Amino acid sequence: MIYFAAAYLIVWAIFLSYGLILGGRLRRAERRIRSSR
Amino acid sequence: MPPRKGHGCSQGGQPAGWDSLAAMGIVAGVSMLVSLVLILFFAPLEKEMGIVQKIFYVHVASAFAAFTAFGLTFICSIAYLVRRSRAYDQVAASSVEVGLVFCTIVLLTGPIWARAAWGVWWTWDPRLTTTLVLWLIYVGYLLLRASAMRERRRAVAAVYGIIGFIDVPIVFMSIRWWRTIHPVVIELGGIGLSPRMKLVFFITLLAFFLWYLYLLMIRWRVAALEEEIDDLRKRRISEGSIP
Repeated sequence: MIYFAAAYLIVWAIFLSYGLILGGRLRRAERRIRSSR
Repeated sequence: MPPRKGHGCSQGGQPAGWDSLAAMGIVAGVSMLVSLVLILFFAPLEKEMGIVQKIFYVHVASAFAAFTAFGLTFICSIAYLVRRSRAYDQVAASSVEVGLVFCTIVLLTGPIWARAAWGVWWTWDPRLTTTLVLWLIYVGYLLLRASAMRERRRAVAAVYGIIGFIDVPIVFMSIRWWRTIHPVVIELGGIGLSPRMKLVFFITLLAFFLWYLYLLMIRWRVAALEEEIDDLRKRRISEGSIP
């Protein structure tokens, strides 16, 4: 059970972390492009 | 669209807008949740390994998503060398980054499953070794993009993206070509799973594919915006408005 839980926690933690990083980069880029135009 | 001066390549296609991103996000997110619920409550327990076998669903689906990602990089790299369109280069680079996320999941869930099934976290088995090499190849791709000169970066990365893909069929075939302890689930005769396991497996494959597409759409938009910002900055420097 511990291995199963660890594997699924890792998968969702990676997706969440990458999603947050990507979302942050997207918001930052959108803001910079709006202020540059 | 005619080639843009100073870059030696055309703009090409455009990344998805906010509406498409939102729609894809809902579809992909719901698919991922459905697959998780099915894995937890619908997929039967395997007789020998029990619940640990359920790592299989995300492990294999992540591997297929990574292969798809690197396959798209391979196609877009060829397309870039032929057409010299920026869009192909942006998609190729974006797909590598998203593919690496899935490949990392493969390399982390694999050892957890191996520990439970074989009693070791890692062994230099052909499948494990070629997968680690695959991960290193595409980490190298990103490092190359970050370090190579801007003018030549796209072409050099495209050539690397084509050559690097050679490892994907090697990873897939490694358990068939060499002696290995890694299980072979997908064979020519079919998939060695019970009907309910097979159903959950295919739904998880689809969910991970949709999730990959969603992440790719966002990443491509980020890449396109960042290049546009870079272009605007360069134009202002050349016009003298930025010292």
